[in-house]
Amino acid sequence: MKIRRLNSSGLVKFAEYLSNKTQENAPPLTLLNDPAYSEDAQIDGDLEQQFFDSKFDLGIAVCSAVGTKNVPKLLRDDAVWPWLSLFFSESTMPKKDGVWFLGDKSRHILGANKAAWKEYDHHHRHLVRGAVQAVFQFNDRARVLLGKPDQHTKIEEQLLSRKVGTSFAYSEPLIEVVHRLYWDGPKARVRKGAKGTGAGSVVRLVGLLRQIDVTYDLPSLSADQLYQLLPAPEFRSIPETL
Amino acid sequence: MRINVKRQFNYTERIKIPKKLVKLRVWHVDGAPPRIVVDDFGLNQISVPHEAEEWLGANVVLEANRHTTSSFQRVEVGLVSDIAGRSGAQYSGTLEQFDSDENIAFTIKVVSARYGRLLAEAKNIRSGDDGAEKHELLKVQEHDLGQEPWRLTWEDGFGPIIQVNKRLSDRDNFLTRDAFMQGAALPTALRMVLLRLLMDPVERETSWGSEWLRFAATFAAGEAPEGDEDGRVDWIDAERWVNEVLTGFCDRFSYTDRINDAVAAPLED
Repeated sequence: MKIRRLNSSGLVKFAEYLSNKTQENAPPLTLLNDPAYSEDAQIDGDLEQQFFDSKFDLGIAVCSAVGTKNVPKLLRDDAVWPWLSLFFSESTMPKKDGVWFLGDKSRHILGANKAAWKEYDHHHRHLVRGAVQAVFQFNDRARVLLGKPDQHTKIEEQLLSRKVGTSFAYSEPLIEVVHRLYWDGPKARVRKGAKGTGAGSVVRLVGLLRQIDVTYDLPSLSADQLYQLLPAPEFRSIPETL
Repeated sequence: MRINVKRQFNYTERIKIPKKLVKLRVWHVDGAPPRIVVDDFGLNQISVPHEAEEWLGANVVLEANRHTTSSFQRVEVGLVSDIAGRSGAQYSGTLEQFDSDENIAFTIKVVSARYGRLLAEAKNIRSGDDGAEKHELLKVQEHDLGQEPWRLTWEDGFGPIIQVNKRLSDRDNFLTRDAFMQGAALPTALRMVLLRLLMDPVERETSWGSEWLRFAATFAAGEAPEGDEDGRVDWIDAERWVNEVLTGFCDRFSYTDRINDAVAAPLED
């Protein structure tokens, strides 16, 4: 199916549906094709409606469908992402015990109301957009950032919320180091302790990155150089050749 | 154990570049990513404690960031030695990762070639700061134009305005999403503005006039042709320069390709 975007009427309807964190009514899928509520996004590529086990797979599916060349155009169009969230609602709005879990609006829609914290337009928290941006920027290494399609992981929030220096969220060497530190390849999951707050955790890593950011331009460092700047033995307890 | 290091210690002698020394301008025309021109990175006006060889061989980096939309763009502009000697604008480019010029924060870094050490930095320069000028080059207004779809008109003190016929049902998308109308209207409007400016020395001296000419020059190999003692520009020279600008402008925004894509899209359905 061609990618579409919600028009102003569609956005109002979808925002109404998102007004509660859970819903007893099914997602309003009729908005997807109804010309009264959505329009062609004029972006090449066909999407297949399917369920995803991981947010990484979701990001891969969208990036593959539109092609790398078109991803920046997609990222610039705020009205595409609510439509995509709805299109993949089976993954982004899981149904449990007869109720659909939606969570905060920012997971599905890009708001512009800066006065209301809940609606503050943290685009990185949008489930589909976050997946696509991470895959677009970091390819396979985005696995370490992303969890289930309906989750915004602690690693994702810590690193992509740009709490540390503007370039951190976009630094390939950093994500390569994060992947090296926290991704358990054989088990295909994030290592235990990574999401905690103790020694070697991502929270601890962010604290150190704040210090490194004062002295170094992070994107100018290779992953190996950055890795060597991290204190031993705290960040040396894992094999360097993962 | 948590280690807290106070950020004010400066053992590496990195320099804070005062924002007021940085002269940058951001331009935005509806339907296209914003353009940025850095007239001065301010590097010639600061005293540096670093070795000359390290300083002159360091890379100048420009980063643009908008927190709320997770938009980021990083440009390695060149070496300090190259940039400091540039006449005219020290950098011009397109912010392709951004949809508008709203709320973009810029960081300028001077990075040593040795191990990525920061030698100097100016942070959080925003459009509208003292060191950065923000301009809306082209206003778009709705107007009842009968059967005329759009018209270029002029406002004293501001310059050109595109009036879009309020009778058009899709007027909101007229210049932002419709590839046909963008390709038809924007190059034509640019040509009309530039030819008017080159023919009118009075308007050329206005602030909006000089801003338009600086914007246009970023798409051409050189500045606009100068007029004679009365300020009049030779028509042939004017047309040649405007064509050069239009070629660069249309190449940058790929208007023909975008129209072809729009034509092809329905056929693939």
